[in-house]
Amino acid sequence: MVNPRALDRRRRSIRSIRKITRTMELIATARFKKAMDRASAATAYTRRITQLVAKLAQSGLEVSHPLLQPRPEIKHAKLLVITSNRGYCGGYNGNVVRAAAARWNDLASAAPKRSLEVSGKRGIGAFKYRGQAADVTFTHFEDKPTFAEVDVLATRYLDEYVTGQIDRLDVAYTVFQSAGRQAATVETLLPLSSLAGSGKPAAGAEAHGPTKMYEFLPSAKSILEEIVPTSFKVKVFKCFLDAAVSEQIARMVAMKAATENADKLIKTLSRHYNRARQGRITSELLDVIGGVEALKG
Amino acid sequence: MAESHETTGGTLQCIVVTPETTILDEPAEFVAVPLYDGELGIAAGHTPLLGRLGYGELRIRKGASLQRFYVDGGFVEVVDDVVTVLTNNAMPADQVDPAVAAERLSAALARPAHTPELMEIRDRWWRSRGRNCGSRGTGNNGGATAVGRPAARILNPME
Repeated sequence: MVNPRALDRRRRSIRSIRKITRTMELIATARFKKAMDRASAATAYTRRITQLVAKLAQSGLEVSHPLLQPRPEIKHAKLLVITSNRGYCGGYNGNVVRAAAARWNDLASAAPKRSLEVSGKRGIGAFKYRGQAADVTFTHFEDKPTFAEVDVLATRYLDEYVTGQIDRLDVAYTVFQSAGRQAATVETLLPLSSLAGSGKPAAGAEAHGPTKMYEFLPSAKSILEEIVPTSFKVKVFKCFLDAAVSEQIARMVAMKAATENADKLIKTLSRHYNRARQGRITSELLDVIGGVEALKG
Repeated sequence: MAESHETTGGTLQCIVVTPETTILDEPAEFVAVPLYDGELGIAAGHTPLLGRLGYGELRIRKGASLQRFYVDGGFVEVVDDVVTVLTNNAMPADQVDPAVAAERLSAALARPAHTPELMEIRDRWWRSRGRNCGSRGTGNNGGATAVGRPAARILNPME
């Protein structure tokens, strides 16, 4: 027969685990809301940059910039992987690492030299385990990446690209599509595939009613020179923001599932415990009755 | 311009946006922005304009009050008496630390600059030498050191 006390002890330990996962779920929810607010505050800038590009395109300027041109020969490719510092978030890190590893192998045939940069302890550990230690690692991007932090990184990539030290930059991260949908993706950020908004120049114009004649200071070309790097930086920043939001969602979902599983387990254990307790009482009772009967006889 | 002054009541709406958040969205009478090649003053009724910002001081006047920011590159858009400043970095001028800025300047000048690209990079370092100051000094980043913000004074001799 099962020992009811052992069952009770297990039930108690699962109760305390449940308490922890429940708390983590609540924390993740709060952090998710904050991260979400930050992400939506950041869209104001992106939207305006998009409008600006649309207006530039309207003025008949040909959009061409070194950062937009693919290099004929790729000598050195770089891959940046954005993962989280903490675990307990389901498949979040695993998915990103898997996507990144696949791209990393593809890059082996595309470029003679590769370098790997990983943000987040989980990703660093995962790549080390795979026998591919990262060349550069960061652990300071938490759930609130600031633009200043990302800017340092983005500027370095721009510098390396402009001076020809790298010919291609890919970023593996979790893109935030909606609160219910996030997916691990790998995007090529350098060379920039397109400027935000340049694909649909008409959209911004119609929203503004009659076309305004803009004066460009110092010139449209000069503005373009600045807007392309800015566009890149904003893209990198968005990757980090998306990753932060997705991480919190993943943790929320994982912890919710863990809490529910703990609930289920507690229920099952309670049933077993009650049955065992009842069984023990019954057998004791039978013993007593049996003893009484024996004495009578 | 006289008519447009009357129609608009002579006020502008000034919006300052950084990649992280909208810093400022309030009415103003006069805005001076540091363009790439010199300072530009904007009053109500200005013609539609797209400008590239340099680094320097952004001044927003409303009545007797004057707000000053240090901005570091970006764009300005003027349309329908709305001045939108898009910048990487906008910081109230009184938070600027001259000592750290000077240090960053000398570090920037020490960088190699023997090709046009490197020269451009150095100039950018020089320009942005005040970046990251006042905020967290945590963890470093990707190759650059955390640094202070430049004094608007040094950058802006016209003051």
